[in-house]
Amino acid sequence: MSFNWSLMVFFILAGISVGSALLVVANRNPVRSALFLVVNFFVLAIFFLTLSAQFIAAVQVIVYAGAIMVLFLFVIMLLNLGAPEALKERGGLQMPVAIALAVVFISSLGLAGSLTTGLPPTRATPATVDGSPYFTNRDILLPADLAQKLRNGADPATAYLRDQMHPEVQAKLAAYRDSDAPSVELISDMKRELNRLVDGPNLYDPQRFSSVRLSRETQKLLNSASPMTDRKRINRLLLQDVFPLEITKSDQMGSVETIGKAMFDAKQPWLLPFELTSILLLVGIVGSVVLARRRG
Amino acid sequence: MLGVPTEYFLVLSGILFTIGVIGVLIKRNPIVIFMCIELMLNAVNLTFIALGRHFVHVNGQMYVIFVMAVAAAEVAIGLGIIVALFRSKETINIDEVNLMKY
Amino acid sequence: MIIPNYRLGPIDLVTLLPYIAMLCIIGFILAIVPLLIWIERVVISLMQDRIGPNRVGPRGLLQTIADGIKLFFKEDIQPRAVDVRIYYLAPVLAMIPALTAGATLPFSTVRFRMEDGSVQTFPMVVGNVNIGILFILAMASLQVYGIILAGWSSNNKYSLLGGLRASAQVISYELAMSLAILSAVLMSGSLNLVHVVEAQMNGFWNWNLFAYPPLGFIITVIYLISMVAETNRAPFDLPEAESELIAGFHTEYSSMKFAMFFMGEYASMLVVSGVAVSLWFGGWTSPLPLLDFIPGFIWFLVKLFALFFVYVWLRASLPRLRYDALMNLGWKRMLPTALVILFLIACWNTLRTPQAQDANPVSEITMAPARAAEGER
Repeated sequence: MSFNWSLMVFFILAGISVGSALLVVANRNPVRSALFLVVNFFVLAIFFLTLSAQFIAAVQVIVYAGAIMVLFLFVIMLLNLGAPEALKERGGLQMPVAIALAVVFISSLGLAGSLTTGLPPTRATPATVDGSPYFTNRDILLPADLAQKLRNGADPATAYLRDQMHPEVQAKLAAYRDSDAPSVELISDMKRELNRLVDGPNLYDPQRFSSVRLSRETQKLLNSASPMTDRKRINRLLLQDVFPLEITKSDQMGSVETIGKAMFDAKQPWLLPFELTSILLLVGIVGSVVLARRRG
Repeated sequence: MLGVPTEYFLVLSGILFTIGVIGVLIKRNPIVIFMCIELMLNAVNLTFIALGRHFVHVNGQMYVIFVMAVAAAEVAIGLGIIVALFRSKETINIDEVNLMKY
Repeated sequence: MIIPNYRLGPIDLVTLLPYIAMLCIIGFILAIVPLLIWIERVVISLMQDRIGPNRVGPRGLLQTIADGIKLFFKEDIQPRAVDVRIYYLAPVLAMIPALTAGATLPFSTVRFRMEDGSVQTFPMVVGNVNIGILFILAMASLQVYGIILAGWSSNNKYSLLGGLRASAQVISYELAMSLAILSAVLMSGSLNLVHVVEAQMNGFWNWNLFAYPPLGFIITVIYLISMVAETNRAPFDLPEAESELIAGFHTEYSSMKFAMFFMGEYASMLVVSGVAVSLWFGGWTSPLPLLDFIPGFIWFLVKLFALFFVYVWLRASLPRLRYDALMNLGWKRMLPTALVILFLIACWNTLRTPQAQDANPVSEITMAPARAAEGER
């Protein structure tokens, strides 16, 4: 068994994040607390990056480290609160009670963890090594939409792909009802068939793909025939272009495109919360301006 | 980081959340209390993203975007309140802000 | 210019490209700063009708080297009442983000002849990632920590005021800057700077500067203004205003720590100028198709130096803004204008006919709802 490097990296980063969080609380100097909080946010951003959430990681740094914590430091400096907090323990009960509560909380978390059967096994598979043209289950982002599109799609590209699939899978797709979530079996079937298409002859045909908007990468690959552009890679990219919303490259789950598509997709429930949050932000802006205005 | 089970991330997030709670309970400086609230929110974000990876669903990340937006609004208002408080009372010690008590 | 072989012995140069790009960027930033300072001093002296550096080396070219050596050997003073750790951390924080931000900035292309004789083009960039411009924004937003912490840890009221001014200024102008960057993203349809530059190829009329007339031009001007404010340069150099704040946040710094602030300032100027070049001035591409034979990094450098000249020009011609005027400009003029322009560009993108969209691909982000609807049909 090989040494698990990612586990080691995880424990180092987890140690840093817990340590910095403790120092946020333990420090008497608010400026230092703020700095340790920035360290904590940074480590979390690295975690997000490794959990295939690149966009969130960038936003984490921009919003938390770049805006919120600068605002904190600004207020600390504006009110000249940089001096260490005066230690005025009242009754001295707060600390023991807080720690007791923390112990209770952690142990109840542990209890809850031991009582449940644990998480179901993850569907996440190791990210495709860059260059591998094959799909994994993880690449099928919206399996229901993919099944519907494969069943109903009337444009020449989708129709051709459907015809190329194994008759059994075609039958399964025809039997699939929109209201159900697609079964794991169906997802694996679709993946297997897509991989078979990737393995097969070059899918490209100008007429067949006339209604598909090809990405820049695909066009570039199609235009330049070189040893680095093998047939499988072209097929993979073509399939991605036919189903731009439904399947993506495995490292794209947290990309801006995926998040944007999910956010503004009328079929997803995010549009209304998005609007509400923007109103909340507006109220926040107005509120803070009103609060900060000098009276009299 | 696929070699790391999702459960580890959940435990880490629980620990961070608890540290945040302790901070809120024992600190007297409202700015630091705010920081501890941010810590708790971030711990929750980590849970969302770890579970989003686990179930290969983008929704985990969508929640985080909203948490971040709400946190930003909260900080703007909260710091505004702290500045206003400081102007009127010349202190921001949370124990001395007790006008509502009487 | 085509490199005849993509292999150097057993090494595949294509896979090495990011590392080469990294060395180029860091080496370039560190090596070019003395030259930039010399250019700045000479240009300003010309504009102010005086002689400028002329003693060390030909035309005073080695003056900055001499200054650097002098700084290096100066006593490193550490005032008594400073917060020592943060005091030492601040100059580092002022410099590292600027150097890191260059990682997603493409500055050239390389063409290799492959095994079968075909020619392939590769961008010179450290990280060709889909969040490229967001990464630069994130790093640029960290830049301010160096200044704030320097101001706070020095335990000097002038430094503190400088740090306060810097944080308020950077937060204010970051908004206009981000909105301007978002507009460019909407124009080119990608957050990846390589794609943004590729969308502006084949002649200067394709540059985002001239896209969506006159919106592209206005938003470029907004970016250029907020870029100067972000880097705390004249006329927005309030954090270090020597006539009011002695030298602001770096009053208490001497020797190499002061030099690091200096380096950090110039490095961040280079990075934000590089972003401007990539977003609006066509990046490494040549302004006329017939000039394509000149390699990309030369065009990039020419554009970069042109923007640096604008920095110097502004410094020589404009007096420093008053603080309230600075805030008014940021919040009441530039932010609303940038918002309106962003809105107009988004409208323009949505209202365009589908044919036009195919001819000139627009943002994936704005396209998403339309394409989802297509999928349903």
